[in-house]
Amino acid sequence: MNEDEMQALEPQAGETLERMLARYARVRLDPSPAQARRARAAVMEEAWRRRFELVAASSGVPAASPAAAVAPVGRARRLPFAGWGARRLSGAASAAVLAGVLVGSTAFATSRAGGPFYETRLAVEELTLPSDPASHLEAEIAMVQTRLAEIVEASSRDDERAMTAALAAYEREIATLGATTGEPAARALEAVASHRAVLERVAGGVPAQARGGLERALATGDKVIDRLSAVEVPGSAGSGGAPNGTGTGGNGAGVGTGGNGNANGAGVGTGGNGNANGAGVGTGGNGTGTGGNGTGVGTGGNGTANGAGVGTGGNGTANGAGVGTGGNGTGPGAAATPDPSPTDKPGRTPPPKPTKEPVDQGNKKNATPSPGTGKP
Amino acid sequence: MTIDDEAIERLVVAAKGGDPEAFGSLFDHFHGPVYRYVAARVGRPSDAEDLAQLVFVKALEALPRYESRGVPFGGWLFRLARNVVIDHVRTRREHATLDLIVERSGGDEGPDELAVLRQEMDSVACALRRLTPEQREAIELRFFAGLSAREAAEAMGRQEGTIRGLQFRAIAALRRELGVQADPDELGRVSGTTR
Repeated sequence: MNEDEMQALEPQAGETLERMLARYARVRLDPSPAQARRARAAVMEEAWRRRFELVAASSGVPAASPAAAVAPVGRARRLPFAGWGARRLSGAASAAVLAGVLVGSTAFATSRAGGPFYETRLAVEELTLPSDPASHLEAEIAMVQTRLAEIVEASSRDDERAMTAALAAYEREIATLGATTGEPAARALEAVASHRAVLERVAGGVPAQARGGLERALATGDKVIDRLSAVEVPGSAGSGGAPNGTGTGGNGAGVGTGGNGNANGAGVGTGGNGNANGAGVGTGGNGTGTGGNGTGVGTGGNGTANGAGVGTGGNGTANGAGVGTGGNGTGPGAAATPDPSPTDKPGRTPPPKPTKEPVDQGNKKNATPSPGTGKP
Repeated sequence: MTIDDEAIERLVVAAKGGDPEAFGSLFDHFHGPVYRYVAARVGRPSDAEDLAQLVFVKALEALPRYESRGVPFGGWLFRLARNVVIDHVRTRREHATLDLIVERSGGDEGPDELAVLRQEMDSVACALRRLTPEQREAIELRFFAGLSAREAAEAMGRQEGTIRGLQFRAIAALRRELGVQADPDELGRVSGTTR
C-alpha cells in the first residue's frame, strides 16, 4: 500500500489487535471509580465557582459561593403587607425566571427541588461553601433563602413533590444555621426570623401532603429563632414602636415596627414607611431597603431595593442582581422582571403615611436599643 | 455514557454559557478517554489523575474562547490535554514506564488467567514502546481515547491524512511485534466510514 492509499483509508487494526488494545486500556489505563469521583468533584467545584463569579460580575454583587450567587432568588419572598393575589403569582414567576437565568438551563431543571439531581445539587452547594467563617455564614444564609424561594416557587406551581423536597432541605439547613454562635448569630437570626412570614403565607395554599413538612419547618424555625435569640451579642435586642406609631429599631440586629419603622444595621423596618439600612427589610406603604452588602427587600406601594434585592410594589425597582415587580418594575441588575399587571398602575400611590416621623435613628456604635415612642 | 456529536455541541453551547451541569455532562463523557490518554503518556497514575483534572480545569478557562468552526470539541479538548502532558513532561523530566501503571483486571480471573493477562499486557506495553513517539501518540488517541482521525489530527496539530499514515504504520508495527496476523480485509476501509 502506498502513502496516498494509506492517507485515504481509515486504518483498521483488525479484531484481534483491537481487542488486545482495548483490554490493555481497560486493565492498565482506566481511571478507578474513586479517581473519577475525586476529579469530578474538583472540576465541578471549579465550574460552580466560575459560574458564581460570572453572575456576581454581571450583577456587581459579590458572590462568595454558589449559594450566595443564587441568593437573590431566595429573597424573592412575600411579606405580610404585600398584595398576595396576582402580585404573588408574578413575584413567584419572577423568582422562577431568575432561578432559571441564574442557575441554568435544561440541565438545571433536573436538579430542581423534587428533581432527580436535587440532592446532588444540594451536596455540591454544601461542598463549595467557603471556608472563611464570615463568607461561610453568608453562603449558608443564601442557601437557606434559596430553599425558601424554592418553597414559594413550588407552592405557586402546586408542585407537592418539589415542595416536600424543598421543605426537607430548608429544615435541615436552618437547623445548621441554628448552630451559629457569637456575633454572627444576629445575622443568622435576622435571616431566619424574616422567613417566618413567608412560610406562613405559603401555608395558606400548601397542598395537604406537604402541610406536615411545612409545620415541621415552622417548628424548626421557631426553635432556631429561640436558640439564636439566646445567643448574647451586643446591641441585638432592638424593638420597635406601637402600631401606627413611630418605631425606632435597635442597633445591630434590630426590629422596628410601627407607623414609621426604622432599623439600622441588620434590621427589619415594618410600617407605613418602613426603612431598613444595612442588610434589611423595609415593608410598608413606602418600603425601602438598602443593603449594606446588597441584601435588601422593599415591599409596598413603592418598593426599592439596592444591591442584590427584590423590589415589589406599585413601583418596584431593584438595583444590582434584583427583581423588580409591580406596575413599573425596573431592575438594572442581572435580572429584572417588570410586571405589566393591570392591577398595579405606574406611580401607584402608597398607603397614607402615619403622622409621626421617626424620632431616633440608632447607630451601630450605640448598642442600646431605643424603644418606639409613637402612639397608635 | 454515550452521547452523539449533536448532543455534545448542545452541551458545549450550554457550558460556554456558564451552565456547570452541562460542563459536568461533558466531563462525564470525556474524562475516561482523557484519563486514558494522559495515563498512557505519563505512566504514573497519580500524575494522570492530577493532569486529567487539570485538563478539565483548563477547558473551563478556555471554553469561552472555543469556537466550533468545524473543529470537533473532542479534538480541541485533546489538544489541551496534549499541551498539559507536554508541559508536565518538560517540567518533570521524568518518564515513568507504562509498567508503573496499576493493573485492574475484571476480578473474575484465576491465577493462570491473570498470569496470561499480565504477559499480554507486558507484550502490548513493549510493542507500544517500540513505536515512534508520533506513531504511539496516534495509536493512543485512536484506540485509548477513541478519537477519529480528524479529531486526532486536531489534537496533534497535523493533517488528517498524516494521522492515518501514522496509524497505518503503527498498526503494522504492532501486528509484527505482537504476532497478530493481518487479514487483508482488515487493512483499511474508505475514509469516513468509521471513527
